[in-house]
Amino acid sequence: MNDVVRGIVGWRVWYMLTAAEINKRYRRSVFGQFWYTLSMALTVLGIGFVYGGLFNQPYLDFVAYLTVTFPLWYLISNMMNDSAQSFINSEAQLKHYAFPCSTFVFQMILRNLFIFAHNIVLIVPVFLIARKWPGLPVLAFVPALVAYVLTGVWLGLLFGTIGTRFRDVPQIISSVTSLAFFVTPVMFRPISMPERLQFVIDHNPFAALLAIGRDPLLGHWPRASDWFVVGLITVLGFAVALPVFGRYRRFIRYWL
Amino acid sequence: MSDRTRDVSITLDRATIDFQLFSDGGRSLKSHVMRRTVGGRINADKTGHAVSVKALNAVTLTLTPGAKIGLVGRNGAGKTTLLRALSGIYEPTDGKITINGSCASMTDMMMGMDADASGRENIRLRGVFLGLTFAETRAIEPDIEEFTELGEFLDLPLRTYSSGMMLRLAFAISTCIRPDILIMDEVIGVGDQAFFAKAQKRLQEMIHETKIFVVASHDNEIIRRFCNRVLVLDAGNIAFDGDVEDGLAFFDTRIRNAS
Repeated sequence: MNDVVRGIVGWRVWYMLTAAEINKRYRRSVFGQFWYTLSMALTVLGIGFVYGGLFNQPYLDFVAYLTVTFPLWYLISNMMNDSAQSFINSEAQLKHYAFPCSTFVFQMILRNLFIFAHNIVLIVPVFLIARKWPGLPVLAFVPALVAYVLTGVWLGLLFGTIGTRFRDVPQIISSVTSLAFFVTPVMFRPISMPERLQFVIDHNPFAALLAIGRDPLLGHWPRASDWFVVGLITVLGFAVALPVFGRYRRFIRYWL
Repeated sequence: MSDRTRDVSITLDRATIDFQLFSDGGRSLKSHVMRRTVGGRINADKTGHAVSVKALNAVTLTLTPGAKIGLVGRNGAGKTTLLRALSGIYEPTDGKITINGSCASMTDMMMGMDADASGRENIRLRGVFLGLTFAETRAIEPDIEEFTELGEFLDLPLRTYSSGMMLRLAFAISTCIRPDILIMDEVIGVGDQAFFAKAQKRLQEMIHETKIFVVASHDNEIIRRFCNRVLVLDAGNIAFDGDVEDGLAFFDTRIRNAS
């Protein structure tokens, strides 16, 4: 816990690490970090065309849906995938500086929030063209964002620690996330799911995590049941992550 | 100020660092789980047991202001581990280490430099790593500019620098802070003759102003020049702790030439 507090107090370090990381990747390209936005636009338009046809959805409407779900999904799934590598990727810094380990969890979260911000701006032009405005429910997106950050924290502390000890954990997690992608309403609407398969969404924590952010941006108030699930997994997540991290934190640097 | 000086200290209380090195099989969660399910007898050898390394063996040590320590020992004696433990990087797996005071570890001065970023951006980056605020990193910029004599190069990316220029910048950034505790792994010589003299002077000032100084070195001259106490480390134990000349002699006769 102390390590996490010191990590927050030392925010300048992870802020600079993230900035340096992103600058490094896009410094010498014309669009800079807006490559994220551009490739997201292509993804959404392309998938909208194919799957909109497949599910018999009006094109513009469906693209607007995807413009919301895809950035959210990338945020959730990338935090999940990156979590197990938070410490492995920062081996050099961890071995040369006395930074608290949580620094690198916050770096991972900030990086993904940055990418998310560049992806989600697409809703402005898309909503303008589709003449869709979320209205007041958009306010409910703020607590959702807080929930995403908290999810990133416990994911990073838990899987970061385990992933440093067991090097096959990142692969295990990424196969879970790619499976989750297909059973979570990212590329399809929940209503497109036949009745007998609804349980796939109802019992899927990823679907709840996605829904609390998606609904407000699409102009609906989020469902209490989704928030209940998110609240539950967040509490459970921290209940497991904090003891594991607390117990094994001192070994992380030796495992690297 | 005098109050703070009195508070600066490093205390090791039976500090042990005992860590496991894993073979490839030992790093896999899958084989871990599988081994449990098959009972662990047949697969035990194949999946690989961890080898335990005792890099520090119940070391008890107190460093107070004025301590200028030279750390000597053969390769693998645990010097780097002890330096990292003294900097707060490694936590002991058993026993306790207490560090009071700000601590800077200069084990690798180039660490954290970004080749694609400009000299100025690197000052900001490294400055923050060393614990400065953004305002403070701006404040040290003129000093570094003057000391490194890099001029317009400071606005160019690091990859356009010669290795000498890069080292100058890294050295200048690392030496612009004034920590209570300074930990070094070998004192690094920098650049050409004229610059070398300048660098030595700056380093001496820094070592002089720091309250606790620890350096690991294979060079006896460096230890004679900067230190007033020698620790000889052998296989994770402190084999000698005391006077500089006695310590160097002890190391030469008893450890370096033994075995």
